[in-house]
Parts: sequence; C-alpha cells; structure tokens
Amino acid sequence: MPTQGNEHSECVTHRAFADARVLGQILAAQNLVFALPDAARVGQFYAEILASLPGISAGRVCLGENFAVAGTLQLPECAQCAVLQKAVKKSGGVSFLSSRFACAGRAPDTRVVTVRTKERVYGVFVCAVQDPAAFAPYEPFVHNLADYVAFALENRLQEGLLCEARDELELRVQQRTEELRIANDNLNNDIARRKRVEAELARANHSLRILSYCNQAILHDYEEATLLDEVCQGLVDIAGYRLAWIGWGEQDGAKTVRPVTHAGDEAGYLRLSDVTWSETEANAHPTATAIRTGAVCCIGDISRHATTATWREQSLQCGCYSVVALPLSFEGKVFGCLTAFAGEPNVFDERELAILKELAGDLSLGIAIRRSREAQRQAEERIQRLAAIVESSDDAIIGKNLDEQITSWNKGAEKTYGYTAAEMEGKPISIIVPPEKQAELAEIMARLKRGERVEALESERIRKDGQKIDVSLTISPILDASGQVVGASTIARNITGRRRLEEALRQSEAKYRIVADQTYDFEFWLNPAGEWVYVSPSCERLTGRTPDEFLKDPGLWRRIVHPDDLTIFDQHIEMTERHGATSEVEWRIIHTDGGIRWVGHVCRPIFSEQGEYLGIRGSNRDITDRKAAEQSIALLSFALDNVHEAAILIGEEGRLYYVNEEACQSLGYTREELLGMVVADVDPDFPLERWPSHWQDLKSHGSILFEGRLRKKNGATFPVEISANYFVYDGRGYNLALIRDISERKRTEESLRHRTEELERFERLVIGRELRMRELKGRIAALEEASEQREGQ
Amino acid sequence: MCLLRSQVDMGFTAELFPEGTHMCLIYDDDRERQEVISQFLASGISCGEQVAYLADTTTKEDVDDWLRGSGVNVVDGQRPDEFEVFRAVDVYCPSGRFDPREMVGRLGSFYDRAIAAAYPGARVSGEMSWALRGIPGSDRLMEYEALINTISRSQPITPICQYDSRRFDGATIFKVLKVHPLMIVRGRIVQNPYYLTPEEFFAEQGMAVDFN
Repeated sequence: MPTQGNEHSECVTHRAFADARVLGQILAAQNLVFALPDAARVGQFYAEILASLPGISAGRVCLGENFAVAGTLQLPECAQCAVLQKAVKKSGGVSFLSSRFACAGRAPDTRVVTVRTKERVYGVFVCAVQDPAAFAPYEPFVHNLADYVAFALENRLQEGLLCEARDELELRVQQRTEELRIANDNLNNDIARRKRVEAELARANHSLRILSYCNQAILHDYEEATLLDEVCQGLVDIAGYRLAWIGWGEQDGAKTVRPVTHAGDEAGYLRLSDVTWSETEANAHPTATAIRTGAVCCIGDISRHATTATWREQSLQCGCYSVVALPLSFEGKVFGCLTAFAGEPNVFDERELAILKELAGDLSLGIAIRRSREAQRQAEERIQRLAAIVESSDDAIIGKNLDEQITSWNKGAEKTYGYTAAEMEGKPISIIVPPEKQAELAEIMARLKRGERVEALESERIRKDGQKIDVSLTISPILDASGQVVGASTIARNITGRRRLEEALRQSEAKYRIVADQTYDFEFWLNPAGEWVYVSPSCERLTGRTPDEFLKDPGLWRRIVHPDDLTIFDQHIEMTERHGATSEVEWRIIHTDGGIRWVGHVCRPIFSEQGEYLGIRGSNRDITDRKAAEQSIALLSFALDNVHEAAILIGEEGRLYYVNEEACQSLGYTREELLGMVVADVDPDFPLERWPSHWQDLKSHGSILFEGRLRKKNGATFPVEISANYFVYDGRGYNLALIRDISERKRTEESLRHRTEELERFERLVIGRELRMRELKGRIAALEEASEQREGQ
Repeated sequence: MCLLRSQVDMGFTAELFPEGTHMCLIYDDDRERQEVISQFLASGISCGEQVAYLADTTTKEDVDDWLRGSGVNVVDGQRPDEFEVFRAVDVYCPSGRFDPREMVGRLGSFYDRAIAAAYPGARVSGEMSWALRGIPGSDRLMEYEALINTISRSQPITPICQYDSRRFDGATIFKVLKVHPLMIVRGRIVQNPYYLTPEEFFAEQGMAVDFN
C-alpha cells in the first residue's frame, strides 16, 4: 500500500503493544472500503472505525464535501473545512483536493491524517486523542488505513476517469462508427447505384441484343414464316424467355387465334390452339386481350393473377411466371400477337416493355412489308397471267383511250381484223367500224364515258381485207385509281360463222319442224340452258298439254311426272348431264284427264358440225299399252308360277318353251335345264317318233285329257293327268299342258280296289256262312220236328 | 459433504462452515451479490435442505433466474416447500410492525419444521433494505441480528443477511459488523473482528436481555 507522503505525527513513544484484535479490526475495515459506494459512506464508516480505536474519543473524516463525525466527544469543524469544501474538485464521482493541501485545523489533542496519494489529496482523518499512549501503537495503522482509503478513492477516481475516458471513447467510437456507418451506407449506396447502373447497362445490352437480333431477322430476306420462327427462337435463346409464340387473330365467327409459330413449348403445355380473342372477361388469355384491345397486356406475376382460367395453370406447369402479349398491327389494324413468357415474376419492367414494344412494332412493319411485297408479286403474276390470257385469247381484246385511239391490240385482234398490233396501236378505232356503224361507235363512247358497260352488242366491223364480219362486242370502261374513266377495253368475238350456222340451222329446223310436227311421239329439243327449243304437237296427245304450255313453263315437264317416279326422272337428268346419251328410261306421267300414262324416254346431247353443244334432243313415246300388256304377262306368269299344277308350254317340235315353278319342282330340274329339253326327255310315253301323231291328234281335238307318266331328274316316274290345250300364236302352234300329279289318287284307287276286293271276298264268306246257317237251321228245325214227333209218339 | 450436518457447504467457497453460521453480505455490486446468493441457495437445495429467500427489491422470477443460471431448476424434482421465495415484509413484519424476538422465533420454527419434515437442515437469506422504510420496530434491526446468534446452537439455521451499502449509511454498516460473526468480503467468508457476542452487544447497548 502506498504510504509515501503521509504526514506522521510528532515522534511518538510506543509505550504499549498493539492488540491483535484491534489490528484485525483495522484490516477488516480496510477491506470493506471497496464495499462502500461513495465518499459519504466511506466517511461515515471510517469515522466510526476511528472512534472505536483505543485512546480515541472521537473521529472525524473529511472527504471532499463530505464530513462525518463519530465518537463520544464533539469534534468541531476545523477552519480549513470551509476552504476544503470550496477547493473540492470532482471526477468520476470522487472529490479530491490539491496535492499541496494541508489541514490547518490542528489542535493539541488531535491527530490529523491526510487521506492522499501521490497525486491527490482526498481529505483527512481527524482523531481526538484521549489517551495518546493507548493510541500510539495503532497510529501507524491509521496512517496505513488512510493511505488505503486514499488508494481506494484514487482507484475509484481512476475507474471514474477510466469510465469517463471509456465513455468518451465509446462516444467517439459511436460517433466514428456512425460516421463510418454513414460512409459505409454511402459506399453501399454507391455500390448499389453502380450495380444498378451495371445491371441497367447489362439489361440495355441484353435488350439491344434482342432488338438487334430481331431487326437483323426482319432486315434479312427471310420469308414471313421464317422471320416469325427466327424472332420467337431469338426471344427464347437470346432474351432468355421461357416461351414465345405468335398467333394471328382470325376474323372468323369464333374469333380464333391461330398459332403460326412458337419456341420453347415443344411439350405443348400451353394448348395454344384453344385461344380465342372473343373472351372479354377476367379469364381471357393475355394474347386474346392484346388482340382485342390493341394494347400491350402484361401480367407481372402469374402465380398471383386472380383468374381461374386454364392458361394460368398451364403457364405455371411449364415454369412461366410472367407474360407479356404484344399486339402486332399495321396501319391501326391488329392482325396478330407476339406473346412471351418468362421463368421469373416481374421480368417485364418498363425498360423491357419499351424494347419489346419497339420489337413488336418493327416485327409488324417487317410482316407488313413482306405481305406488301407478296401482294405485289401476286399482282404482277396476275397481270402477267392476264396478259398471257389476253395474248392467247382467240377473241380480239382491244384497249383504247377516250380519244378513241387504240392503245393495245392482241393476237386475237390481229386474227379477227387482219391488222397487226404495230399497225393499229395509236390509230383510231373507227378504222374497223363500217360507215353505217359510226353513229353506234359514238353512242358506245358516250356510254363508256358515263362509266357504263356495253355487253353482248352484236354489230359489224371491217377487216383489213375489206371483208365485213359479224362481231359480238363487250366493252368495259377502264378506270384510274381515282375512279375516273380513262379508256375502254373491248372484247370482240367473231360470230360470222355462228351466224351462218344459225341461219343454216334455222333453215334446217324449218325442215325438221315439218317432219317433227307430224311425229306420233312427243319429240323435243332443250337448249344448253335447259329451256325448250322445240316441243312437237304430239305432246298434247301424250300429256294433255299444248306445246306452248311446255315452252312457257320449263318446269312443267317435271311437275307432271308421277311422284313415285320422280327419283328415276331426276337420276336420268343427272346421268344425262354427266355422261350424255343414256338408254331408254321409263316413267309415268299424269295426263290432264287424271289418267296415268307410261312414257318411254330417250334423249342424247347434240352438237353442231363445229362441235358446239346445242342442248339435248329427245323423244317420249306412249308405252302405256305395252306396259299394260307386260303387266298382264307378268300377272299370268305370276299366276302360273303360283298354281299347284305343273304347266309346260310345248312347241310343235316337242321343245319346251315355258315351265312354271311347280313343273320345276315336280320334275327336279331347274327352269333353265327344262327349257333346253324336249317332251321325250321328261315323258317316257312320248318318244320323239310318237310325238308327231300325238300333235296331229291334239291339233284336231283342240284339247285332250289323258293320264300318263313323267320322269324326274333322278329317274323315278310318277303318274300324271295331262290336260293338253292347243292354240296358235303368231302363226305358230303351241300346246299348253297342265299336268297334275295323280300319284295320291292312284294310291287311293289302288287302295279302294283292294278294299273292294276284300269286301267282295268277305261278302262271299258271309253269304256262304248265311247259307250254311240256313242249312243248319233247317237241319235243327228238322231235328226238332222229328224229336217232337218222337215225343208225341 | 452435505452428510456432515455439523458442517455445511455455502456454495460460493470451498471451505465448510458450521451450520447455524450467521453471515452478512455487504455489497454495492448486484452481480457480486447474485453470484454469492445464487450459489448459497443452490448449494442448500442440492444438499436437500429447506431453503427460503426473503425478497425485498427482487422478485421470485429474478431468484429463479439466478438459480437457473447456477444449474438449478427450481421446478423439476423438488418437494413443494423445498425452496420458497417470500416477500421480506410478510416475514419480518407480518403484523406491520417489526419485532426482533418474534422474527427470531419464526426463524427457529422454520428450522424446526424443516427438521420435522426430514430435511437435513435449513438456510435462509434476506434482503434487509425493508428496514429503511420506516416500518415501526425497524430501528431494532441490530437487536434482531444479535438475537439470531443466540439460537445458532439450538436451532442452527444458516442465514445470510444482505446489506446494500448503496442504501444503508456507513454508520449502520459499522453496526452490522458488530452483530455478524462472519462477513462476506469479495466473495470470501471472513471472521469479523468487530463481532460482539449477544451479551457484549446488548451490554454495549445498555440493554438487559433475557436470552432464554
């Protein structure tokens, strides 16, 4: 413990020994200084300690502004205490004085012990000494105690100073930390700003790459389909989008969106074919919305998008979390949509959208240019095609302006009029117009200038060789882009040949009419348009209608067809149109008298000598009687087939001409087999040599009924009754033999005969028995009589 | 060590002391106080003694936290009354007035009940700052402290009296020294040379006391 600087009292003679217990108390009190929190409590405690020491009546401790007194005597304040109080300095909660401080309050019976260290004076211990001898052994320990307390206070002061320094340091550290934090924040902000700039630069580069790639594709000489493929693939490969597709908004009833290309959706998750742009509600596909509204449709986070539409689930299934749909339009008209899906949400920020909008605009323009080029190419092709048609046409096709000057002259015109194009181009059209038709030309030009069209005008023109030709003219005004008439095109067909033909035909028709009008059948001629050209008067006999009724009413012919035969009629018309001539067709018509007539109809297409189709020429014959006869025959045949007797028609030579179904069944042959046979093949009783005499017999009697036999195919014979009937038809004699199988009858007759014989035999037996009975009865009666006689005797 | 009932482990020193040792803890550092007291209580619990804590400025939760910090969970596996925290005024002045003899009687009874309940011993620690609130009879605090020393043989409950030197003045601290045979200085238990036996103390005070 530091003891230097302590003021010792005057030399003291140690007459007594220190008590160990008191020394222990002083040491214990010394240790407790660290448990006392402040100078006030230190003063109070040590004043008590001092007062408890042997030889001390009172103790006083002055520590800075703190004064404490203990003991039995009053120890007044020294004069210096006031000075001391004023000289107090404070640091770290501890008061101290100048190092040169010395207590001036000494009194004869007091000991003053300064509480000080080398550095500072903290105060004084003042002891009122009652018994100096008793106190003497402890005085050094009081000094030591004062030093210890000073050390403790110094320590506390140092701690306080350290605390102050620490606090100041901490404050400075805090301030510096704050400065560094701010600097760090600024640095972080700078770094963040730089990163943002770098990211923006990267994005800008990225966007430029996309734009550059797509613009290169647009500028490249790709066809439209290849361009679209390239753009979609670029959006996936270069822009890094997950999917991209392009669809056209069709103007059909369902308003479908027709996918034309896509990239990144090889698995077909998106079901692109299901999209329609008619949807207006919240479930609409972004593509549909973009096409419908013409505005960009962007969904930043599909997973949070409030819709139940299937496209949402499909998008998420293939890892798409944001989407942008960019309408493709040209001149304000939306024709499709470019749609891109990204694998992360909120990819399409303002910058990205600006780039993509620019891309969509460029793509729209690229598509429009390609379509325009394609349309131009097709137009040129069409023009070339039309030019080729014009050049190759047999008709004369002539262009002229409103000054009646010829501007074009095709090969057909050269052929028709004999002038070459070089001769006629730039010349007036009036060159080929006869003088008497010049007024007509003026009228035509007037009509053309009014924008009117002249159709199928038949007129005359003059060839280069002076020959007049008949022409059919169709003249159309030629309009410029503003709709103004700037000229005319004339199509002229040389109809001179046709005129001649028509005249010849007219003359021929007159001759033909004379003949045709006298025909029994209903003759007719239909022109290519299906209109009656000629109907013979005999139609009235067949139908009850006059030729005029047919000529005025082309549909009348079909209307009078029997409803049950309309199908036949219509099929015939169709077959004739397809294949030309057909075989005779029969159908029924209804006469005006209500009766039904059968018509046998034949027709065929007719052509002129030049091969020109002139229509259909045909004839309708009344076959009602024939049909009735056929029906009778059919009825007879049916009847014969359904009777239970065999019927066989036999000719004079014995050949079978007809057999009915019963005959076939009875004999066991088919009808075809029997019709190749003669009578001898089936009747064993009529060999060929006997047939002529039988035929003569039949011919003389007309009919004969007789019994005989027939032989079946299997060789068995059976008895028959044959009714042979002779008749002549068409000059030839025939025998219709009706044959009845009498096997059963024969068996019955045989049985009857047999029974009859038995009855006769039985009758004979009965009669014999009756005779014997009569004989016996006679004998019995004779015996009885004899017996009676005997008894009488 | 716990089995030797004449000697007890205070928890915060390796040295053993006789049961019934009456100690004071004079402190101005709460962390030092917590270390000493929590180990004192934890040692008592781990030795199976019945332990009580008389809290004035702390709460039961504070004390439980101290114990948990010393590795003792006061909830798990203890008997219901093995360790209890009471409000100091409820124990020292249950009637609103402090009576030294009654309080000493309560300490003795606490010890007796612990022994009757088959606890090997009992220990208690009290925060003495309640005596600074002017409660009637609180000026007789040193009398009470001196009387505790009279039962240390018959009912050797082991108490630590906590004096916060930031609250008590220096003169009172000096008096405290006189009535505690041992004191705790910087975490160590030392003999108190200022200690006066009850007879000496009361003689010094000029009080005639019947120690029976």
